[in-house]
Formats: sequence, C-alpha cells, structure tokens
Amino acid sequence: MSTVIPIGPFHPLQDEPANFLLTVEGEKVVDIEANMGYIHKGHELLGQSKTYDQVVVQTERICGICSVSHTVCFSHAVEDLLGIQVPKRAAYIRTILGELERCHSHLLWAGLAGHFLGYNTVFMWAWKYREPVLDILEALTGNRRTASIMKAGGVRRDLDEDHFPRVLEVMSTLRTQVKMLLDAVIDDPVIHSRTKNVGVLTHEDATDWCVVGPTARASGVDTDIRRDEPYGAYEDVNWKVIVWKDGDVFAKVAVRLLEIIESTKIIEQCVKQFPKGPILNEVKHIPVGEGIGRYEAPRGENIHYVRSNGTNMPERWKVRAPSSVNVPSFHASCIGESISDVTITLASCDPCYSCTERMAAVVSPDSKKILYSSADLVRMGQEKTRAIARELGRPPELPLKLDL
Amino acid sequence: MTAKEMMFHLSETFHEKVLLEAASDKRLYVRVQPEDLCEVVRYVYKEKKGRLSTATGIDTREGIEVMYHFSFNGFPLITSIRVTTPKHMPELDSVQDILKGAYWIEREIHEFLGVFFKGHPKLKRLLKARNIPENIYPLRKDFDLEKFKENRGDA
Repeated sequence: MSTVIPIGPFHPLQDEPANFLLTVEGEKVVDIEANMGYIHKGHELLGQSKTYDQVVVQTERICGICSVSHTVCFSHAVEDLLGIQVPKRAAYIRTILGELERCHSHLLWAGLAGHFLGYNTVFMWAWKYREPVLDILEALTGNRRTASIMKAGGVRRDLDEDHFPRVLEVMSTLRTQVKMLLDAVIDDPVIHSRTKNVGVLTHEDATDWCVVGPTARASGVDTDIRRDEPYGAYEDVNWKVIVWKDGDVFAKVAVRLLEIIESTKIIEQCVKQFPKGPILNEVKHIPVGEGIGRYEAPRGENIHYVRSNGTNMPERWKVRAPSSVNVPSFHASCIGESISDVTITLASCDPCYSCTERMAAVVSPDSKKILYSSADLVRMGQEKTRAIARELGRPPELPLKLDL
Repeated sequence: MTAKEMMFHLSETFHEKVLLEAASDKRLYVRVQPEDLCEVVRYVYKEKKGRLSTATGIDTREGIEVMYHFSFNGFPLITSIRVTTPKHMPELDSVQDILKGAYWIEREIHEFLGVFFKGHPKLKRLLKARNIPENIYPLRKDFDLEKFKENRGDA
C-alpha cells in the first residue's frame, strides 16, 4: 500500500514555502511531486512597470540570501544589452561582496544540514562562524544583507578601505575554522554512513535535469559561471572550481565547504590588489535590444533576460534563480530513498531556506489521520544518526530542542 | 566556442531552417520555425552539450515568442533558440522528452502565457495563485489587472 506524505508548504528545508508530496511504499519513496507558488510575487510583471534603476532595488527583494547575486545578474543583463564594461574598482567591489555572500550562504546551509542529521554542534559552529562574515558585510555596506549598492554600469557607493585589515583577519580565521569543520565531517564515520551514497544524483541525471552550481559540481559536472564567463575580478585572482564525482549528499557538503575556502582566498586577493579609479560607468539611455546576464550565485547559475523597447522601463524581464532548476532534480535523487533520508536529500541542493516551520504532516490516505508532522521527519532523521552512532560505539549527541 | 563558430555549425547542419543573428561573441540568437524546434534543441543539447538554462516567454505583436537559452560548460556562449507561435492558438512541441530540464519551465510558460506544449506529461498549475482561473494569463499584454480585481471582487 502506498502512502502520500505532504512536506510543507511551510518547512525549514525551504526558504520559500513549497509543498512536496512524497508517495511512499513502506519506507521507500516511490514518487515525488512539487506544488509551488505559495509566495509567487509577480516580480516579472511588476518589473515591467518600473524604471531600470527601480528594478535593481526590486531585484534585491527576490531573495533574502542572494541579494547581491540577483542585483549583479540584472546589471549584467543591462550591461550586455548596452555592450559596456564596468570600471575595474566596481568589478572588485562586486566580487568581494559576492564572495562574502557565498561564504555566509554556504555556512548557513552547512549548519542546517548538520541539524537535519542530528549534529547540532555543527549547526552551532557553522552559524557562529557565519556571524563575523555578516559583520564585515555590515561594516562595508551598512547592512548585513540587502546592501543596496549595485547599479547597471557599476556600483553606487564605494567601499571604505579602512575596514580591509579586519576583512583579512576574519577571512584567515574563517579558513581555519572551516578546515576544522571539514576535517570533522570527513573523518566522522556516522556522517559517512548518513550521507555517503544517500540521495545520489548521477552525472547523467544532473545533465538531463540541467542542474547548476554546487549541486551539479558534486555530480561531476564541471560548470561555474565565474570561470565560464568571467566577470568581476575572477580573471585576476587564483582560485579553482571544486568538482566531486560522487553526487551524494556527502559530496555536496564537501563541495560547499571547500568553496568557502576558495571564497576566502578570492576575497583576500581582491582586498590586497584593490584598484583605484571610478566606480560607475554612467548609463544615460537604454536603446532597443535584448541582453542576457549570468552570475554564479551561491546555489548556482542565475540568469536574467532583459528586452528593452527604448523606453526607461523593460519590455520583458525574466528571472531564473538556481533553485528552480535544482529543485526538480528531486525527481531523480529522492526516488528510492527511505523517508528518514529524504529530509537531508531535499536539503542537499540548498533550496533557499526560511526559518518558518508551521505545517507538514504524514497523512494516512484512508483515515486522513496525521501520522507524522514535519518535526517528526526531522526527528526521524536525527534518530537514525543516533542509532548509527550507538552501533559504532560513539557517544550520542544530546538532542537539542529547537524552535525554528 | 564563439558565436561565429556556433553559427557555422548550425548553418552547416540546418541550412535555411535557421535564421542566425550574433549580438556579440558571447550571444547568439537563432530563429527557427515551430516544426524544426525539437530538431534544433536536440542538436544543441546532444551534439553541442548545451545546458538549458531557462526559457523565456514573451507576448509580442507577432505572437507568443518563446526563447530557449542554452549555456555551455567551459565557454561564455549563450545560444537562444527563438520560436514564435500564433496568439490565437499558441502551441509548441514539448522538448521535455529530449531534456528533463524543461519540465518546470514549460509548465510555467503554459500557466503565465497560455502556450500549450504538446507531449508534456503534466501540464498543470505550478506557480500561479490558486484564485487565478486557468484561462487567465497574467504575462499577456492584454491582461487587465483592474478588471481582474473587479471580477474577483477585491478592487
């Protein structure tokens, strides 16, 4: 007999409320279906009645975490339409802010992934390490998130170079901390047994579902917009694209943690060779035409398409965030997994989180009686980890009650 | 690969079936007829190892235009395959059986612009709010927000 388990619409796995219907037979998931649109905001239609400068402000509100990504991506699209380059200093500012965003976004994910696995120490550590990154963002731009600094043609405000010694200091500390976290993850047999060969997205499936970012790179797809279509300062600094072959949750954890280390290196180099000069290439008029902008957001490739009809408002503005290609890949990665592994598999592609958990339940199709709530699903995941820890004769971590 | 090389490969393979326009070294726009769409998409995906980044639907005077943006790993080119379908009966072949990455975006274009994708296994509501009727397409230029609010009774 098969049972249908709804996850969501409000669940800590997702930033946006989304409803996943898992069809299970016993413990195994046999089908998954997503229902989206609970917070569809109509950004694309709204943007068609705003001027280009106003759209930049609006793009920042698309995602709370990727606020730099979307604004830079839209600016890239307008710059592609105009065929202009941004000044060197502006490109460096964009790179520094973008990489700081990647650091804090990956740390946030690592923390939540730890929580779903029942490793609340990882959760506490990762979020503690994330805080200084946000402090730097606040010092540099005035806000922890939503810097309101981007503009088509460059940036609106300059960075204060007095803060750079502190940036270097935090980056070197962060690197040591993340390396320690990485060693802890790589050596831990319990994390191995919970994440190795769990939720595998094969190379073929990754290509077929057109996934992007760390989700694709963990499946051996060598894709990174920072290298494929270099923008900002990425051509001037030394860094490498992290690619793992396995495609399981463990590879996704490792790829993200290693990317934080690469990001800290990029930021350090940018800060050290920060150029002088103007920060804005003034845009006077936007002609008829079309442009496509791409940006490597923490979760993968962002793409914005802009068509202009010669007025000060876009004729059509299309936004595609990385999660909207990564999330459908659950069709490939979740089927065949057991329910207790689904929470971490769903979380593994980092589908934008929110801190809201209100409703999710396992309902028996016959009696409509609630069998498990979403807290139960997380608990099942954590209990499985503790059971494995006991088998391996390791002291189990104390359960932590968490009100998200 | 630059836009010029891709133009060469496409015109060698498809001759007069494709109308090519390179906006720059990195951006190539390809206009095809609806009946050739699947063939060109299959070529770009299978032979050229393209990745479907997304598709954009636009309501234009000539009809509903759908653009499939293909990215490539390793070089900065984006090839956009452009196809126009008449507004009174917008209908295209689904490319979902060639590459699964089109599964969601075709559903999205279907609900916001009313393009019917032939052969899509589940052309159902994905993002549109539940209180918007199926036959109202918000991204069409003739969508009247005020009238819609009036009909819904919350003007």
